[in-house]
Amino acid sequence: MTSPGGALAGRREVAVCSPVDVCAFVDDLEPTDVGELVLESHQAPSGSVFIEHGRVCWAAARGLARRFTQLLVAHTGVSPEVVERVVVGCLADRAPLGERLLEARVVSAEQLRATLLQHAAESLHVACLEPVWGRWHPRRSRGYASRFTFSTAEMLARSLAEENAFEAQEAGRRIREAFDPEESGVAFVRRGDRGVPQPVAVSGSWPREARTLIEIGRWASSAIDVASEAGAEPFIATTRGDASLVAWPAGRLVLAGLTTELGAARILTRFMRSRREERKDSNGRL
Amino acid sequence: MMSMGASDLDEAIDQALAQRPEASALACVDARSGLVLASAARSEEALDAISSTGVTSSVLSAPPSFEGREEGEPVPPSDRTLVMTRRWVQVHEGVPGRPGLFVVGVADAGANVGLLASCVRDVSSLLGARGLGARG
Repeated sequence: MTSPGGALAGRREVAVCSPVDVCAFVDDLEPTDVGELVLESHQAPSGSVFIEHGRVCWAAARGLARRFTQLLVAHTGVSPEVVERVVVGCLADRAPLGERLLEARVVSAEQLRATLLQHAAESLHVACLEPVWGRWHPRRSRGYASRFTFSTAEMLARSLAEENAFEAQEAGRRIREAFDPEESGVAFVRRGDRGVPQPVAVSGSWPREARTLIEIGRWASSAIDVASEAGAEPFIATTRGDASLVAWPAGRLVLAGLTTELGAARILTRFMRSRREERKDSNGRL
Repeated sequence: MMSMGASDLDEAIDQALAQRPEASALACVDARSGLVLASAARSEEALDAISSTGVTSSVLSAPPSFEGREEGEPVPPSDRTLVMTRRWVQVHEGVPGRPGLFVVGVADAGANVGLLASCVRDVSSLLGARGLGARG
């Protein structure tokens, strides 16, 4: 099964082998679409993803019913009983949980966003562990606040980070080192068992769509391959108009990001400095 | 505007390299086909490095869209690309008015990147102004 194109999305059904397929389906929806993608395996639901206006609002997976509470407790340090009370209240009057948690001062906005993202990413990962069939059900908007919803690029990277935890952590560190906060950085892991580089970290507002994220991974990996000399890793900066796309490898990782031409020069300087230090270290060890 | 033939292009690249010490090698490449249309180098090693830039340019000049776009909408090629390796620095600059054609300059990795970029930009402007021969 492969990623769906527009035609599959038009049929409102999709074969799902991984979170890539779910995110590609969402990218192909109309911007005004609101609804739930129910994932089913052998007639039994394995999970669902709630989508509003091209963004993932919530995801759930069979067997993870209590996971949100566990994560919230882990992120905030509040007791499970306090969280449970708010959850039960929300279920009773069908109120949005996030807003109610904020009102009750159980959680800060940053903690809530981090918890929602981790919960949705874990759920998507678990719901797609086996091939499933996704069916789209239009729903009425629940009015999710956009700051607590996630682009498909962010959701895909966070979801694939579940199976590449070590690389995702390393990727996050390298992105923070290389890019300024107003720039966008992404990272991929190249695995022998996967045909395309797997996105594992995203920082910043670009790209929004999972399909663009995957295109960046493909381009960056190909560019690095053609520009590599034997045993030497290249740094690449390509510029169109005012924006520069940079890419370089770091072991099994491929780093890329969007910046200005000046930003590319700054990142190149850092890259060359770190290469000089690596060389010094390796000479020192000889 | 008169357009340049293949031998004119060879001569233009040879002359540019002779006049610009910033580059170890120069080439004009067609990124759509990956072909090197003309090249000149100061050493065998630099010639080797510039010979593969046609293929490199074809990949590097076609990054994904930097902005959102509609499905199937064409993505324009890059204006310029810089590649830094342990041995070389490469600059690829699009020839004005000739989509898909790039001037590529190669210099030692320790060379001044700004000077190389300026040299390559000048050569690509010159070729664009002279009406580069190969028709798109």
